[in-house]
Amino acid sequence: MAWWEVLVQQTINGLTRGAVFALIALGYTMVYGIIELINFAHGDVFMLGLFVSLAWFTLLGATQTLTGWQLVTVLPLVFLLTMLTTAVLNVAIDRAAYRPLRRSTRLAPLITAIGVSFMLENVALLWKGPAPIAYPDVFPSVDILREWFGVDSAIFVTTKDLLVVGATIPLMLALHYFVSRTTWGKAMRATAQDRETAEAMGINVERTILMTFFIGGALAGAAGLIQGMYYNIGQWWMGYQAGLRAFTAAVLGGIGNMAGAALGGFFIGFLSAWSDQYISARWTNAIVFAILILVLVFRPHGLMGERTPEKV
Amino acid sequence: MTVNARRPLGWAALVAALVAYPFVDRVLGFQTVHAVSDGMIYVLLALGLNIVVGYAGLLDLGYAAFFAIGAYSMGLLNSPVLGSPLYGHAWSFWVCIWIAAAVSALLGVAIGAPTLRVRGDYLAIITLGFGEIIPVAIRNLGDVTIEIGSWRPIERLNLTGGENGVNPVGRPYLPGVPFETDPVPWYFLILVIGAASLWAMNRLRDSRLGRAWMAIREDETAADCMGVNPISTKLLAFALGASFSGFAGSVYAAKLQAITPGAFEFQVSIMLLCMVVLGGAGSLKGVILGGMLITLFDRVVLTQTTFMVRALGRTLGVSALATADLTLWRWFFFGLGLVLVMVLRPQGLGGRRLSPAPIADDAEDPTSPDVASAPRVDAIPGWLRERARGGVAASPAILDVRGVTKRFGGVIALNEIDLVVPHGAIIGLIGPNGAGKTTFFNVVTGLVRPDAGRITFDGANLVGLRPNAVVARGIARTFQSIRLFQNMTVLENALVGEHCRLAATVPGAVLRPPAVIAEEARAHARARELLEFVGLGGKEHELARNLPYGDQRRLEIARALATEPRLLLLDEPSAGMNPREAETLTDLIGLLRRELALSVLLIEHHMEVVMGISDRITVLDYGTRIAEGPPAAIQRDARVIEAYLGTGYEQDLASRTSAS
Amino acid sequence: MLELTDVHTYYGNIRALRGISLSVAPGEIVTLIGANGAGKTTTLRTILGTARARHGTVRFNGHQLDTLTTDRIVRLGIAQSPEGRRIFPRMTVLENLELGAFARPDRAAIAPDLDRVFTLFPRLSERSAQTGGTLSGGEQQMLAIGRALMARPALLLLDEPSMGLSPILVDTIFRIIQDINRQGTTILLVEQNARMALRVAHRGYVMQTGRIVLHDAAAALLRSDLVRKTYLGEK
Repeated sequence: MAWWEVLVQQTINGLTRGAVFALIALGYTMVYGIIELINFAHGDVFMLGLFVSLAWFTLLGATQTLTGWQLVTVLPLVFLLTMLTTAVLNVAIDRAAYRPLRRSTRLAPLITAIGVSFMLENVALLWKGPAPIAYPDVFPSVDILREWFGVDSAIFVTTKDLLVVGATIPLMLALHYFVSRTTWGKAMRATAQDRETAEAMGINVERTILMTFFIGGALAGAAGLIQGMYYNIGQWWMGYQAGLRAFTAAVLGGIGNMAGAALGGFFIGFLSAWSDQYISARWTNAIVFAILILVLVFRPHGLMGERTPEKV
Repeated sequence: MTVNARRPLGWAALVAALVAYPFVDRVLGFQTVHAVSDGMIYVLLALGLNIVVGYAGLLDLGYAAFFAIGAYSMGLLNSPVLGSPLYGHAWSFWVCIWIAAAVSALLGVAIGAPTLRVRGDYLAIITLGFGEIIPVAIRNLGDVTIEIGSWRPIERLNLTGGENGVNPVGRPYLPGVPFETDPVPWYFLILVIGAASLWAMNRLRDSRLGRAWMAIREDETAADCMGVNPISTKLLAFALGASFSGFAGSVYAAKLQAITPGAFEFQVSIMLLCMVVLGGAGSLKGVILGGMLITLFDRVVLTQTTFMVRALGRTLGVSALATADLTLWRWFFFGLGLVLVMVLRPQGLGGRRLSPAPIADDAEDPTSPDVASAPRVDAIPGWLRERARGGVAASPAILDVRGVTKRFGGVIALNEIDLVVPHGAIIGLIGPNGAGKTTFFNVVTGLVRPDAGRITFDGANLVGLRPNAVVARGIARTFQSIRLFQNMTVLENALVGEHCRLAATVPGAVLRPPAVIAEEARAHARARELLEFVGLGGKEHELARNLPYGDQRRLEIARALATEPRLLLLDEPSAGMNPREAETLTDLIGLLRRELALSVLLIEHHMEVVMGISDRITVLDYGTRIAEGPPAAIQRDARVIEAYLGTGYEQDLASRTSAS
Repeated sequence: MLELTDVHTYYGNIRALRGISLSVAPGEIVTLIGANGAGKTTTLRTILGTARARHGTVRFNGHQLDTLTTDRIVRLGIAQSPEGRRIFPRMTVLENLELGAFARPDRAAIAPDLDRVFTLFPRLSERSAQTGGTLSGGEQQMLAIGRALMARPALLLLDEPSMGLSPILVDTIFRIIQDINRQGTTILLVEQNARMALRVAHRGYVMQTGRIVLHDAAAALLRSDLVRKTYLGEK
């Protein structure tokens, strides 16, 4: 492969990785925006999203590559069911582990979030075992350049890449519409900016928080499903890794800032793909964390976030 | 202490039990010494983590990184793997253990220094990041090749032992002690290190450093404004916490004889955090208890219960139970434990109760009638009097503020404000809410940096100094909304005020030479005198949060006085007080000025208080100084009346009364 | 319309209200005056349910408020312009106003009310697309009041509408408060600027350390010795 082909290939890889990170990062940033909690368990909800989606496929008897009408019936149905499952799970986590601590110190719910994360990982470990599980190749993979355009190139773009982009972008647009145009979306933003005043507007803050966890969980579930269909592999500990990368993405974009989280997700996707290629996959984690630390120390409001003076 | 005559007996019994245990174990053939020693290493680590999490209130999610650094320092220095010259010498271990602690502490500082300005939950994530980076670095630095084109400046360099780890590690040497073959000497080695660490931690907690940690944990801004440097205080917590993990890591490496990067993953950090949280962050006994319970749970309860469940499953013929393995659920239980403790008992098993204390159900604050009697001249602490005489005036005004401007976004909070406080004067600062008075205090005390203007205190520039440095110069303040260290006692609150006037360092706090003992005794005596003076005598050991409102206000003043100020900034001290209490307060301020030559800058809304006591008054409105002068002139000033009372008032009143 | 009976409210161990009883009749402007820390804001917070009374009752048009959540209370027709304005800084002026109408069931009647607010505060109309955080202090105060009006409340709670404003703006704001009242909204006004408040109010309560120490017609309070001495700065 020529050097530019490698670069293009890695950038495409980065795009697909980044789409998944972005979906997870949105959940982090929404929850942080509204209750100032780093929802440590969020990455594990993503991981369970993968496992749960597999269960739904199995339940619906679709463990082979989907064809024709299945693509427009079974696939959207599994998306819906998976997102619903993880959304409900995320809401349940909030009710059980975070809500009782709403009025306590900031660090208390962070500690319970870590606890929940461990529980979810352990559940996945016992459910699917320690070995990587094979995720069936439900989505048809076609080498686009070669088979559709007849271009003989070392660069490999498949219909799966299209799936990732085609599923992620509409989800993000829908979220953007919800948050900026609908009444409840505005209520959510208002609650994030000033909880007590939002309450004084007649907004039911607890219901808004519930909605935030619901949406965040749904997006994480979608990310899990996409991840499974794209990489065809799942492991019980993958939520921790992906979660930290997605959190880094959210921080890069300025935590609480949704557009920032989406962009940050893609940035981290590119960065990790390039690092795998040009430095060494063994160092990628360290590099991502170094960036996380540098941004937190020097630009705590993110690369594009605004500075807000702290009130004394 | 005569009441507790059984205490020495209890201690003797404990020591005897600890010493006898390994021999009893041997006689009974339990063979648990090995496991118990390992458990004690983790308890020691939890105690080190407790300094960071429990005392200083910094959530550290990557503490295992310091454990790793301690273990690898020992391993690399005292092992043949990388050809260390120290390996093979009889006394190497005893040298290396100190080096390991020092390296850990240094790395604690290196990691902490840039990151400690970051807010609490972000700091937690940063520590987690370091916790992840360190094992990655250890893994990858075992085989470093740098390749730039065909040039290879570094090829297959081994810095850490890589994935294979370090093996063997030199054992400790003491003449005639079989460290090679017997677990018992290890037990005693760890016991001695643990006991010494505990002793040192206990002394640190009860020193000026321990109080500073807790003050930072309770309210960082208030601590800063009382003279505690938050950065160096947190750094010290990081460094000391890390140094204990250096000791623990050293012993771990030498005992296990082999260290691999896998032993220092995130899970270890979380298990240690579990111990601290379960036991009660900040409580030494609690953390030991938490550490023991978790080790016991991990090593004994899970395996034993598994046996029982399997036996049960076999008798009942349930195959799911007969093959169950509860040890697989380990992390589930740890996670569940964290959630349950935080939700049900956030203070842990051994922590102070954090729920509100019952409120005395009387109509008035019980103390106010007594204290409302005028403060007595003879109650002024003598040392404060002496201290006040000591000051030498370097300039005519103690505080001189010129042209100070501060903007927040589009709003001008302060617009070219001038204000002078002569030595020994009481200056009133008044104006409607939102006029910028508190912002002015924040600018003077260094909390907010002005956009323009000069501030000189006794001739020296103040702009750019951090709040704790401003306090050290001799300016103390109180807050509009009370900011005490809620979960510390009244006495501790006053002692934190003295922080910047005390000198004890870490060795001093631990070893307690006569100078430190004398200093502490003097500090306590002074704090008690001050509390007596403001009317809080007899309440020294109550938690600040349990005091009634008036007492909290008084404690804020006592805490400010404890910093030995020459200028006192009082932000609405009479807010929420009834006229009688406000009058007492006026007397108190007057007394401080008259007897101690203390200068006072006073924000006040009670007109009687401010008009009666001030030498001169500055009026702010809308961020601008609209008047300055003696009280009588201010009361007549047309602009002031307008700012306070609004325009056209007289006509309006006239029209209304005629209409009705 | 609104009736507080022997209300006690605590913050932790600190008693902020020590038995407040007051009433507001339809069509009135009632003012609460008193020094900082006397409990004025706490009284408003207790009415709105953002602070909770430990003893006593709060009744509004036959509903007992102290058992309801804040969003339910707002739906009964109480709106607040909070102390320090509390504008949503990263939302536009228009969005801020829309949120004021969040709890209203009559979505169709919102547009005319928006026009009404823009008529009262033409400046807001000019800046409707700007975010709240970029407004000046006076504009923010107008927005806070306008936002509360968007709820079309039966009772409007105003907390220190004069705070941080230039004297001219304070006059304007108080004129508008009177206009709003004449258009039929009952107002409970908390103010540090006692004279301005008493000038526009019908009745007033004077608070001190969590209690009501004086209660009278506003004109009478203006003539009372205690008020003149303590809050009007007269000798």
